[in-house]
Amino acid sequence: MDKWTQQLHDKLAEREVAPPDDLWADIEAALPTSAASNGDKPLAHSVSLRRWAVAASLALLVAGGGYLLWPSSTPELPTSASQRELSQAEPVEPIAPTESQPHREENHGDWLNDSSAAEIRVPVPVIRPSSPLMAQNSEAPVKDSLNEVIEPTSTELPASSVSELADNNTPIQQPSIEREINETIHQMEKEIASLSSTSHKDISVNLYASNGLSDMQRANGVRMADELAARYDFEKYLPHSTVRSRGAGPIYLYGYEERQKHHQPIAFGLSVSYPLSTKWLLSTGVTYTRLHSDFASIINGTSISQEQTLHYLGIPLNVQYRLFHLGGLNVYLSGGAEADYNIKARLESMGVTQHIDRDRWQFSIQGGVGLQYDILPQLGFYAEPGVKYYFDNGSRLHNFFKDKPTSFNLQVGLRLNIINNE
Amino acid sequence: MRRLYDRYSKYAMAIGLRYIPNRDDMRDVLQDSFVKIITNIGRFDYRGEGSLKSWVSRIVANQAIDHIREHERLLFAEEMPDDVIDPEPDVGEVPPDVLDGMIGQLPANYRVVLNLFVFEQLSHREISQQLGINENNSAMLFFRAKKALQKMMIEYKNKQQRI
Repeated sequence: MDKWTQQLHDKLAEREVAPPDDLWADIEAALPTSAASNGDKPLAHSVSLRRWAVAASLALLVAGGGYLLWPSSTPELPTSASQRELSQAEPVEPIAPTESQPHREENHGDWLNDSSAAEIRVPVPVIRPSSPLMAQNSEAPVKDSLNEVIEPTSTELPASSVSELADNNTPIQQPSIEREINETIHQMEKEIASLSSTSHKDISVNLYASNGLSDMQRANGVRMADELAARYDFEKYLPHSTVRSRGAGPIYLYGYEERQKHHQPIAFGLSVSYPLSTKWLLSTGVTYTRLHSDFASIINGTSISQEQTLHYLGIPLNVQYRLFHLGGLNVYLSGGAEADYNIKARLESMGVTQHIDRDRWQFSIQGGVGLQYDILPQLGFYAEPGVKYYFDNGSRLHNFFKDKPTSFNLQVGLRLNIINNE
Repeated sequence: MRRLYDRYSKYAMAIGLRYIPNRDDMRDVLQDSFVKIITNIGRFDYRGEGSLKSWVSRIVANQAIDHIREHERLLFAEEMPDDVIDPEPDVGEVPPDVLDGMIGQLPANYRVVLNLFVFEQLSHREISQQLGINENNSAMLFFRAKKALQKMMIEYKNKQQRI
């Protein structure tokens, strides 16, 4: 570019001319409708998420309630006087059959053995309404939407079941019957032991929600591109600078900053567990995960913000190893892998929503400790704090998985044991 | 988005007027440009304000060129360049709005090539690729645009001296 052309450029390149006054109104009208509802978007997402949570909890209550009601209508339920007494005495601690007084609050509690107990037609409605774990439900460090999944179980189910239990728990003072009961329980124990030593074919279904335990945010200076830095005349524009010389290393643009915040991933899922042995379980299912990130480019105090939302469907494959059980509480280790497919990617730039290129397959491995409390033999509440590692899938998308590949998370859920009565 | 518009609309308007001197037409071009900018900003790889500004500039320029293609004759027949004007008039002696008006009076093909070369700082190879002409044609059009502009500047200067 010759000198005259350069002068022409310098004279007019930064020139500004006021546009027509009402032009912005026309631009707004021509923009996609999503721009008009900018402020409502986050609320809409929140409501949508809650609807999912409520729908999931209702579905679980309907399915679980139906399942729980079903055994009570079977003809095997005790109807005669002796059978009724047997039923009332069931909460007796199986390990101490000689005790005279039944331990009504003792849970047979083994997450696998409970199912077996039910298989030999000894329904054991064991409830712990005052369980510490139950009390902590509403205080779990998860989003409100997650609590909505859990709360109905922590309040309604125990309450109704407790009243039923209270009706049936009148102490009975009949030693002969107790001996009969103890013998029966002994027999049960043997049968349970024999069943446990083989393999259980009872499948459990889990409805769960999980999220990470921390957000991820960072702010970066914006580095001047090397090719631009090479063309920049530092001596002319920064004559007094002592550090801004050619080849002095990375140069960051003054007044420019990029910020990004990755919110906790939120996940819901349905999984099916299949016992391989008394100690080992294999589980798989489907998981929905939502990632939300905020990006902001600060240009001399002016911020251009963007919100990115990614929706994934994942298939987890986990194994669980049961460590021990204490009362109604089971403790186990869990580990496995998951493959997540990005079903939808969306970017909202200051009110304008657009679809962006989807992320690649995201693979991860995970491990954790699980705590399960059996509310009923067929229904348990569990929490799995754990750690998850997301492999870099090589995509250009910035998200929680990329910026925090190793993260702690908490999964909470309800486990429905489908008992095989055959 | 309103802040983005407030920050760059005047700059974009000035760019557009160098391509399309008619303000009514320019209004349509500017509106279409900002709709495009706003709906595509998510795909823009932000590398500082300079990059954002040049991106805005390219969108407005492209939108303006499309408009010219649709509404004006954009001929790129090769012609032999005239002689160079010597000495070249001083750009600093002509006010910016007058200069803008002069550029606006140039034939459409001159305007487009001059704008792309001087303000978008494209090479003649890049201009030829964008407009579908050959490289020499681009250089020749720029040369003629420059000469025509310089003539107008000299006439303006003479007129000012007479006043």
